[in-house]
Amino acid sequence: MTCREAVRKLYDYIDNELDNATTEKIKRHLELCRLCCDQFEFEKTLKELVHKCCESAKAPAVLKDKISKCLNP
Amino acid sequence: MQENRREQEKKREFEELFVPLLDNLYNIALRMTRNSKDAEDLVQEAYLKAYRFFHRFERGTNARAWILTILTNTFRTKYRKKKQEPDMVDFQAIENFCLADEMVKVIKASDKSEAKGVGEVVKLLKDYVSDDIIKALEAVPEQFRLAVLLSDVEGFSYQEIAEILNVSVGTVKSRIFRGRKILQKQLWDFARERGIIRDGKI
Ligand SMILES: [Zn+2]
Repeated sequence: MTCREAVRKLYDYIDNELDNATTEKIKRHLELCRLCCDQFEFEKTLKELVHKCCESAKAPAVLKDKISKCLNP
Repeated sequence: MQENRREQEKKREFEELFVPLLDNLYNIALRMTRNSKDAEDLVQEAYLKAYRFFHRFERGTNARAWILTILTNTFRTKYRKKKQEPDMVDFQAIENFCLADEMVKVIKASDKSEAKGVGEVVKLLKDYVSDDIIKALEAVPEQFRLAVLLSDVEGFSYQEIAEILNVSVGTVKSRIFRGRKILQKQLWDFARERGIIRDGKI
């Protein structure tokens, strides 16, 4: 697998969209290629950061109450 | 009496499935609407609709995907016009944008002593605070933002996202791709506006 091919599948890879065979091929490429490995790590980190910043809020208690009141009039 | 018991049973089942998802839905609604008042209204409306249409929920299928579909549709029909959405983006300019590469260029220019690679900038990326990421996300136009959120925050597959947004898998992929590029460009603009990429630090 070339760098070009690997990078073209970067998002499919970090989003877990590839079949096992292709995933293995990319893994092998990443083990040998520092450049791609860093690039993949960077994108994966950004994905994780987006996840993290969108799980910190708690639903306000008043919202919980409103919903439960609607269900139990 | 029988009717009453059936209603109670339905309510219990609904609450068991969906109340634990409340924080998750509120978070994603916050990022969709970009303000807490609308996020609360949106979540409440989604729950009420979900309850009203609970008989249509196929038991054993993904409850989170089901209620998120309702939330997404409600958002798209009702809330997206309320607050000015970011302008559409010139994709040609952004198609090849790569935040990592831009960062590497700056670091290399400021520090010629050693060759630094993308590995270094993963650390830089982690210097962004949550507020930066949120602000950058909010600058991504809605259709791309939704696709990115459903993938990054909810962890849905492209196929699941396609079903939630009612578009093809190809469209999902291109929206995620573009959404991430726009996000990266925003993060880069923040870093430059504030002049925070200095001495190899954000
Ligand atoms: Zn490579």
